[in-house]
Amino acid sequence: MRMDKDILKTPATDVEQILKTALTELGSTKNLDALNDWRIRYLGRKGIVIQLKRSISKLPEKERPKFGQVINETSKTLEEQLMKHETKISSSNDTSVSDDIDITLPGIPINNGSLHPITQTIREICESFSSMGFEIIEGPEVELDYYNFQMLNIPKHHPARDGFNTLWIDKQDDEGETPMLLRTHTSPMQIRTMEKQDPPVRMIVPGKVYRYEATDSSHEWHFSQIEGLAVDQGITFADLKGTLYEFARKLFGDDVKVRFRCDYFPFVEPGAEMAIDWNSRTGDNNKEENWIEILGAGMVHPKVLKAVGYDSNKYTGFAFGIGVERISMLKNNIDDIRLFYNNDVRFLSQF
Amino acid sequence: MLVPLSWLQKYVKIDLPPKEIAQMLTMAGIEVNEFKVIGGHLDEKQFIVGKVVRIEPHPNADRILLPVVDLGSDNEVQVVCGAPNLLEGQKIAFAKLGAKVFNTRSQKVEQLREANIRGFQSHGMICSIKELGLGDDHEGIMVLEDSAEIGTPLINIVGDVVFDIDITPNRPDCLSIQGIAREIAVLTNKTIMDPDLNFTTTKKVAKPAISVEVKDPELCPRYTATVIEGVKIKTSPAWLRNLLIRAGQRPINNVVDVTNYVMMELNQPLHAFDISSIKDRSIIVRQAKSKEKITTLDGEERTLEPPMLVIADTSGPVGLAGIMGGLSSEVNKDTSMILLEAANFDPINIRRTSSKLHLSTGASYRFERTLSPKLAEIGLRRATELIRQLSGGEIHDGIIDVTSGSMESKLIPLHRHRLIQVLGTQTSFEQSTNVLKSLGFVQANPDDTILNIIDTIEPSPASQNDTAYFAVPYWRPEIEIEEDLIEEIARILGYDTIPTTMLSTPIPHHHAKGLWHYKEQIKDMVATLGMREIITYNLNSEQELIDTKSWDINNPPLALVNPMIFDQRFLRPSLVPNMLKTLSMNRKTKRDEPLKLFELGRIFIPSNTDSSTELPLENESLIGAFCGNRNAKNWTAKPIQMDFYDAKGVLESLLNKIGLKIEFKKCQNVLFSKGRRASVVYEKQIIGDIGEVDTSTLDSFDLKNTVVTLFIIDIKLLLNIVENVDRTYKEFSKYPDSTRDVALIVDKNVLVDQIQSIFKQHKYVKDIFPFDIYTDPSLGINKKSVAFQIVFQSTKNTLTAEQIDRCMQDLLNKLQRSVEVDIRQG
Repeated sequence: MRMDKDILKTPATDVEQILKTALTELGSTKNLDALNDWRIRYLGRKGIVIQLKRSISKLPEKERPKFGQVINETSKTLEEQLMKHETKISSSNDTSVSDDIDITLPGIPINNGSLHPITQTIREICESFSSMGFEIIEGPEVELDYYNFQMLNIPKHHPARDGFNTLWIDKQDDEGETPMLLRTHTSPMQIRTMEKQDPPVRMIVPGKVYRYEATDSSHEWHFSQIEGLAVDQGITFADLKGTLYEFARKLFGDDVKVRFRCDYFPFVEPGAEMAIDWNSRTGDNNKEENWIEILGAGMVHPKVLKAVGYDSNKYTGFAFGIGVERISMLKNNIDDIRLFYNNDVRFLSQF
Repeated sequence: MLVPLSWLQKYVKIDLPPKEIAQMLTMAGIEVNEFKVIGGHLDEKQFIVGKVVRIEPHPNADRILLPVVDLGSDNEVQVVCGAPNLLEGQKIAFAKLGAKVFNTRSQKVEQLREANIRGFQSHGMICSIKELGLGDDHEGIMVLEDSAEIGTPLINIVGDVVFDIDITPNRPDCLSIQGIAREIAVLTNKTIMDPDLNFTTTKKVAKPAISVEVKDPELCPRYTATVIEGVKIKTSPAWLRNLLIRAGQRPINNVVDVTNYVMMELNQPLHAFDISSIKDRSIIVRQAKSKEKITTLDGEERTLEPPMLVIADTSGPVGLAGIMGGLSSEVNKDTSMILLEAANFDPINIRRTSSKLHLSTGASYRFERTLSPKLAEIGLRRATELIRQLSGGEIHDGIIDVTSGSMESKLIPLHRHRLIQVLGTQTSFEQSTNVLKSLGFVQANPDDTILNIIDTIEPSPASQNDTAYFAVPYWRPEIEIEEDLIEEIARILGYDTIPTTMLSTPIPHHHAKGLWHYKEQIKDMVATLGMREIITYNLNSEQELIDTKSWDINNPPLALVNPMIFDQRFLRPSLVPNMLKTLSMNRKTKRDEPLKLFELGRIFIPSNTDSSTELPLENESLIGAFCGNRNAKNWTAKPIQMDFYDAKGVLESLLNKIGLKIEFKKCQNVLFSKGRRASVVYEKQIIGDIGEVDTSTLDSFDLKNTVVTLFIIDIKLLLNIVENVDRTYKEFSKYPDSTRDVALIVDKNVLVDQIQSIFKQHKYVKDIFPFDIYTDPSLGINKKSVAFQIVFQSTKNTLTAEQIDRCMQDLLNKLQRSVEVDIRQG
């Protein structure tokens, strides 16, 4: 770059010459780097235009306004021309820009791992109860009739067994009965826990459960459940409502509305079912209510407490069971429960 | 259960819309799935009641008639009709021109237009049930009751709402219309109107027409019956047929329909026998003999065994007690004298018999759920009178009644403090007791000794006045304890009246972080390493287990009695088969795209005893699978198929993250190809296997022409080890490290680890890794060249070049003493 000190000594009329030279040089720049050099030389912080401006003070007082005006116009012209030329260079297919990478080429792919949606939903549910002091434990999937039914106030030949179509293990006892089964719910862990532990109890049990049921888009014979149990002195149905409402809010948002209705499960009394108003999640109260059942619950049946040796006059508690697939289907807008255990990567990769 | 609104209205005044009734019942525990409006499509003006005033024959066609229909307001029209059951004087469903009716020929709903049929104009149509869209019946026209007023909109006569209700096993009373009506009455503050149970006996008899003997009073606590003589068996009147149809029951004849009607109305199953078929006019209620046979009403011959209960005569069974009548004693068109039975049977025996014979009926379903012996007589009285009204017989004097069962009411206390203790609400005690009274519970005096008191709580002296005793109504056999009363109160007042509070009891002590948390952490780590989690079924077929070498002959897997899919009946002892199935399925759509899947799931190892109650060991297993190309399609790299080392890399990363220093040793696991398999070893303990799956196994899972590498880790073992692993922070060296490269030419079968382990023993060797491996004939037969980079570092000072060189020389000398090696130092 040539130094321009001499130019600055010339009178104001030579500014026109500077402009001419500058525009010629600009016209001959072919790439952005060269353009940048030009910009620095003429319009930079120490560029010619700035220096011209500074030189105004050296001129006689009466020449200053006119000269100032000329310089401003020159500066404006140079900037306008710079922008035009820059646009021209950027859009041209000039081979001299071959160092540029094609930023539209795809990046190097990483193989993403993922967790199964059921794992994710179980975690979300477990975390919401964990934060309320529930301990997470697990139990066996192969159970005894004794724990799965009898201790839960479902004796043999009780019609309530109709609701639990059971997959039986092929091992007969002396009477020709099959005492082992695939658990039909996670509730046997209520008994196993209370047998081992004195009150207070506050726990949840995630796990797989099994029912002998025909499959369709909303039924699987193999699904996941989360059991909950809280037993102590002074636990009431009001606490059951509060705890499960809190859970619903954590999962579905602060504005979600819940509803409890009477329902029957042999191991609780009174029994309840909780539904959420799907349309309330958004806080928009204008939509018609759309109640979707999400869990069964109730106060632990005194017979169950007595069976594990708890004093049912002193201790009360509540229990609940949540169907994990149903929650996951709701939250993720999944319309077919069979997708979960089919494990198609096109499904799994969306979570 | 299907419950027509019009039937409910016989017992309770209902002035709320069906939607509100449904909502109310549902909230109170009687879940209404949906309700259907019947006849809602029948336009009020276009479908009206008409009367056939006269019928003229068609001059040229025998089967076509020309009835004239009175539509009221002096409006008579002639139509053309071919229905076989058309009679003068009938009230019929008339569709005016323009009405939309179902055309049975085109099978479409069409607008009715004026038609000329065989030369006569038809100015409308007399409709069948099918044409009206009310059912499938197209045998003839729909005949209305005589009481239907001419000209009234048809919907007022045939319109109805049918609720579809799910009844939980604890509410046998709600299997009846009366039971549902009772709930509605309580919920809407109305009174329930019970049906009239009086009947007139019109025939005095010197001696009962039939004798009844109950040989097993345990299984039959009550047997009541009446005899009706001179009945005429015919079709039931329209009102009865319509109600039965709407409630989902097929009408049969006037006697059988009444037994079904009363069962649905009051819950008491009934059965009518043709007395002429009862040998020796003697009914014996007894257990079946072994291999005794009966042909039931459905025409099936059934082989019985004790303690199944039968109703028999002197020659053999004539009915399966509480389940289904016998074909031989069925009421038929010629029957004139019937024995009407209303009995009570043991619920468990009924349930066992019904499930053994795979025969469930409306009667058995109700008996299984426990009915009161009191109900038998109530049902009998109602049905007897209805049969007399509809079939015109004479009722023999007196009710046959063999009772042994207790009909005492249970007496249950309700304590104010218990109500608060359970519900957490200060509901008024008076309000609560009023709820119970409205449901038919009778407040009683506990000193009344004839009642059977059930007291679960010692009333404290201070609360004497806060205790009330209630006798349970006979229709609520499942109410046994105080909490049952509390549920009644809560559900009628509404669960929404109970406050919503957070748990205020202290959080119990929790155990140290359990297995669940560790498993979730491992899942996170594996997913972070680019693996996708799958969750599969826990069952496999025998073939799948054999194909994956997972079938242990000495301890075969547990099997199911009743699998969902017939061959998928074994509880998996391995995660391998379902992983291979998942890979195979996904390769059909993903082809050679990278598939890196894992599952952390249960496997089941039988206890290996004959015990029928010893649960299997449920172990947690981790399986990782690699198949397809290493990288997703991209423009920088050529596709390379994943192999053993991809799996090993992920496994090493995982175990390294956990803090385990593991070794890989050659193994004999036959699931994997020979020479491409290893055991994963931690301090001499095998915690898993890794290898490329044998091609014959892959073939059986339709995974041809590909490499599948699996690692399988025993998670419980791993976690046991992790507990004892030192994972504390280790200070790293502040001094710079230096590297040296060396190429070693060794026998092909020398393992890299044999070389590395020698280097690793030296205190200055921080790391050593191979960076180039090749074979070339120029190296010699069965030779390979392995180039290593060795990183030297001391924790105490900066190593000098001389120190490192000396160290390097020592190590190479040492190496030469144990392995035959040609050194080419770089």
